Amino acid sequence: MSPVIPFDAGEALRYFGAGPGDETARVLVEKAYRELAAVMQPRYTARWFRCHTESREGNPARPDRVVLEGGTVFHSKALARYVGDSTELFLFGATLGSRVDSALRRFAVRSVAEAAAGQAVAAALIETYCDGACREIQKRLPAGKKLKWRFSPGYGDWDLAEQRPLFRALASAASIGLTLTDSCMMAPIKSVTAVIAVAGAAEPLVDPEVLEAQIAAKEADTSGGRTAAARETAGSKCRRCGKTDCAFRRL
Amino acid sequence: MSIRDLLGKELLYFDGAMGTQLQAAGLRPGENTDLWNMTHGDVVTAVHRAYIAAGANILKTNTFGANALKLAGTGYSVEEVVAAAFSHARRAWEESPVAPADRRFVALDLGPTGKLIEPFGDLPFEDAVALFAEQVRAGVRAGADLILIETQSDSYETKAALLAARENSDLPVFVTFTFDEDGKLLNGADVETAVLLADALGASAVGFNCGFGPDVVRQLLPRARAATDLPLIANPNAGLPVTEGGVTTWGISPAEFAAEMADICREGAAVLGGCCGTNPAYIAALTAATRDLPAPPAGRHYRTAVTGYGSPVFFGDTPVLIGERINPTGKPLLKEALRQGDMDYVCRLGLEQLDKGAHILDVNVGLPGLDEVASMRQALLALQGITPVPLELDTATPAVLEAGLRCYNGRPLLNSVNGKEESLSTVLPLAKKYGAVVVGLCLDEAGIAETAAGRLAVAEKILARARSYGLREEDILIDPLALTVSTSGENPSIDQEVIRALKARGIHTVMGVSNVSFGLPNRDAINSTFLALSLEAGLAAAILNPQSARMRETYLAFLALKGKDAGCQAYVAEFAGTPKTPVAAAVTEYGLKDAVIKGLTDHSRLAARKLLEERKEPLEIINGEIIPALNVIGDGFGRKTLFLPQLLRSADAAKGAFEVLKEFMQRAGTARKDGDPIVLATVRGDIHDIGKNIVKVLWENYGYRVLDLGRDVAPEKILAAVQESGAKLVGMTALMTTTVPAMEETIALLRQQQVPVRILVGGAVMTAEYAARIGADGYAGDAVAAVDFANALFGRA
Repeated sequence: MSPVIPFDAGEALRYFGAGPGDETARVLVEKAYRELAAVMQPRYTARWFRCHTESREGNPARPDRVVLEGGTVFHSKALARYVGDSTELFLFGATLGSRVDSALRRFAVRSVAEAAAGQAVAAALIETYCDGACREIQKRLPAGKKLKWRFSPGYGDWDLAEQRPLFRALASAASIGLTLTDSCMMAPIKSVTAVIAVAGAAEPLVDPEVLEAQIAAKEADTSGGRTAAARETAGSKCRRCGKTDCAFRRL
Repeated sequence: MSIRDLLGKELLYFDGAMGTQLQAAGLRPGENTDLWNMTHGDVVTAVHRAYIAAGANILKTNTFGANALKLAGTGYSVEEVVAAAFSHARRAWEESPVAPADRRFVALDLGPTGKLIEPFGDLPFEDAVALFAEQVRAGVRAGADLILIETQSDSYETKAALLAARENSDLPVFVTFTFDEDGKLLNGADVETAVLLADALGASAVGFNCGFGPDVVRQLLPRARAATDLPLIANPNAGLPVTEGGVTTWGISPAEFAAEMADICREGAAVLGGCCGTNPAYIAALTAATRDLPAPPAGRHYRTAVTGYGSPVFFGDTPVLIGERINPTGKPLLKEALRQGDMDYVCRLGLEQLDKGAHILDVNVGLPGLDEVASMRQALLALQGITPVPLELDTATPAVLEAGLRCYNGRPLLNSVNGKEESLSTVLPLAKKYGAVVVGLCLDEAGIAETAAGRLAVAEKILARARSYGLREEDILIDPLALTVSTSGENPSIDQEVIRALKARGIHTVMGVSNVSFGLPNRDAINSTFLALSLEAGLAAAILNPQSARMRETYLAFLALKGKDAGCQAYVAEFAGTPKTPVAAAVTEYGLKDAVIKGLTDHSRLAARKLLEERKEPLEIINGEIIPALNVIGDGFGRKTLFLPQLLRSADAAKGAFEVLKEFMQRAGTARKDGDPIVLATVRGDIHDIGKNIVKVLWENYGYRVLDLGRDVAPEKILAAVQESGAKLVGMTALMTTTVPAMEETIALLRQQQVPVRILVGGAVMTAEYAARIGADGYAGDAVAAVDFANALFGRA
C-alpha cells in the first residue's frame, strides 16, 4: 500500500499565500489534497556513504568540498560546513510520483486557482513525506547516531548542476522512478534529493537557531506579493539555509 | 531449437542476480556494472557458470544499463559492451555444457533508460526507441537467442523497448515488470494494463521481476493470468532488502524462496528465475524444487480491452461510454484552438467529459489546412499528460493514424477500418503492429448495406481479414452504423439486429449514437431512446456526448434496470439530492463585475450570458464590467489587502466570462483576432510554469492575444515566435537560478537580431536589478505587475 502522508492543511495554505480565515482557499486546498492523495505514489530511497570534507586551499577550518567513498565529490562551502565533522552521510531521494504531475496539469487546465492550490498541497506533502522517511532511516541507525536535517542541491552555494553526480551516486533513484532531466530538473516535479549527514553521539546537532544567527537575515516579501511559483517549493527549513536572497525564503 | 518451441511446454529457468554477485566480487557503490564486461570479464563469466551449474538455462547478459545514455563518457560503445557481455555468456556455456545443447540460451538484457519519457520527463519517445534499438541491433549481431526487457516500471518505456525489439529483430521478446504491492507500476499502470500492452505489442512471454519477493509475485500472478494467454515469467527478489550500516542482506533463504517459487509455478508461471539478492544457491534450490512439476497450461482468458496507463477498459460487461466531443465538426472554438495549437482547450473538453463519466475519449483533430499529424501527436501528448484513461484515435488518414499509434501510451482504440480493400490493407497491419483494438465499420465499396445480413457480411469480411493479419477477433469491435432516422426509418432496427447477431457470435459492437437524430428537433429524446434500445440489444460501447444529461440518465437507468448497478448505488449517487431547479436560480444572482470580484466562475458565466441576452455588446461588457473588476482586484492585491488565492479565483471567473463572450462572437461571426500579440514562455531548462500560466490568464483577461510557447523553450523558438507574430512584448519566466543564463541568452539573441520587442521578465529568482543587468526592459514581481507593464506599453493604462 502506498503510505498515507499526514496532511498539514495550514502549511499548504501558507504556501498557497492565503489570507487569514480564507475559507474558499481552504476548500480549494482540501479538494486538491483529496485528488492528489488518490493518485500519489510516494517513494524514497537512501544510500549510505562514508565521507569527509576537504579544502582546496588546504585550510581544514574552511572546507569547500565533500568527498564520498567511491569518489563522488560535491563542491560547496555551505554543504561542507553542513557536513562538518560527520564521517557518514546518506544520499536521499524522494518523489510523489508522476501521477501527481499529471494531476497538477489537470488542475491547471481547470483553473489557475486550483493549479496554485495543488502546487501548494504537493509541496506540503513532499515535505511531510521526507520528514517521515527520515524518521524511518533514523530508527535504523545505531544508538547515539542522529540524522541531521536535509541539505539539498540549490541550497546556499551548492550548484544544482551537482544533481548529476548525486544521481550517479544514488544509483537507486531510478528504482523509485526519480529521474533527472538534461537541465538538472527532477522528473517527476514533486521530488526531493538531499544529503543527510549522520552526527555521531559526541557531536551536537547543528542548531538551526545558531545558523540563523550566522546569516544576515533578509526579510523576503512573502505576504502574497509573489506569484505562487515563488512559493511552490518553499520549504519550512529556510532559516537553516544560507541563501538569503532566495525568493522562497521564509524566516 | 528456438526458445519459442519450448515456451509453455517445459519449465525454463532464468539465472539470478548479476549486480549483487559482482558487488560480492568487489564492484564498488556507484561503479558502472556494465563496464565489468570490459574490465572483469572472467568474473562475469564465473557468475554465469555458477548459474549454469545451479540449473539455469537462460543467461541474462550483464547489459542492464548498457545504453548510450549510461555509457556516455565511459569510452565504450553500446556495441562493444554488448558484444563483450555475450562473449562471456557464450564462454560460460562452452566451459559448462550442463544443459542439453539445444537448451543453452542467452538473453539480451535490457533495463530502463534511467530517464522519464515526455510529457513527464524530457526524453522524447522516439529517442527512447532509438536507445533500445541500438542495444537490440548489437544483441542481434552478438547472437542473442531472445530479448529480455526487464525491471519495467513505466509502461510507456516498455512500449518503446518492445517497438525497438520488434523493429530490429525477429527474436522472441520477454517482458518483466516491477510492480508495487498494490500491483501498480511507477507510472500508475496496473498489472492488467501492463500485461495487456506487452501482449498486444508482440511479447512472447510476460511477467514479474525485482521489487519484492516471491510472496508479492504470488499475489499478483493471478491478475496477469486473467489478462493474457502468454506464458508467465517470475523473477522475484530474495525477499526485501535490509540495509544496515551500508551492508545489504536479503529477507528469505534459498529454501523459502524455492518453496514459494514452486507455488508460483503451480499457479501458472512457466519461466522461473531470480532478481536482486538471489545467487546460485537460490537458483539451485529453485530448480531442484520445481524440476518435476509440469509446465502450467496456457491461459484462455483473453478479453477485448483498451488501456491508457492506468486501468484497462474491458468490453462486454458494463457498457462503455466513449466521449465524442474532441471533434472539430461544428465546434468553432475547438477549430480555433486547434489552429492555434491551444491544447489546454482540448484538455478541458476531455476533462469535462471524464467528469461526466466517459470511460474513453475519442480524439479527432482533422481540419482542412491543418497539419493533422502534428496536431494528433500534440493532442495525444497533452491529453495523456492529464489523464491515464484510454483514448480512441479517430482519423481517416493513415499517416495520422500511424503517428498517433506510435506515440500513444498504452493500447488504444482505433477508429476506424471499413470493408474497403484499401482501408483493410492499410489499417489492419498498423493495428497489429501497434497492438490496437480496431473499430470496423459495416461499409465497403458497395456502400452501406440496407439489410442486417448485408452489414453482417461486411463485418465477417473485416474479421476474416483481421485474422489474416494476425489479429484476434477480440481485437475488433464492429460498428453497425447509425444512420439518420428521419431519412432511413428501418435503420435502427437493422442496427439492433446486427448487434444481436454479433453478440451471439461473441463479437463486441460499438456505435456513435448521436447521428440517428440528425435534422430532428429535441435530439436528446431520440438519441437517448436509441441508446436504450441499442444497449438492450447488446451494444458494448456507445460513442456519445457524455455531457447530455438525458444520455447520462438513460445510461444509469439502464445499468440499474439490468442489474449492472448493485443496489442502484451509482444511480443514487448521481441523482439523490438533485435540485428541482437549476442551482444558479436558487441562489443570489451577482452582476458580472461582482461575480468576478468575488471570484465566482459559475456566476460570472451566467452574468455574462445574461448581459448578452440583454443585447449588450461583448466589448462593452469587457470594458464596462470585467476590466474594472480586475482592476479592483489588482489594486487590492497591490496594496496587500487581498491575497493570491483571491486574485486567482477572480482570474478564473474573468476567464469564464470571456469564454462565454468568445463563443458568442465566434457563433455570430464577429470574432476579432483580438488584441495585441504577446509572446510568453518559461525559458529553456525550466519546467516550472505556474507563474507564467497566471500571467497568461491575466493578460488574456485584459484582451491580449497571448502566444504561450509553454515551458522549457529554446531561445531560437522564442525569437521565431516574436518575429512571426510581430509581437511588441515578450514575457519570460525562470524559477531556478540555473535557468537564468538561458533567459540571458534569449535576451542577447533578441537584441542581436535587433527585433523591435520589449522584454519583460519575472520568476522567483528574478529581481529588478538582475533583470536590468541581463538586459531586460522590465521586471514583474507578480502577475499584476505584468499587466501594468503591458497596459502601459500598449497605452491601455
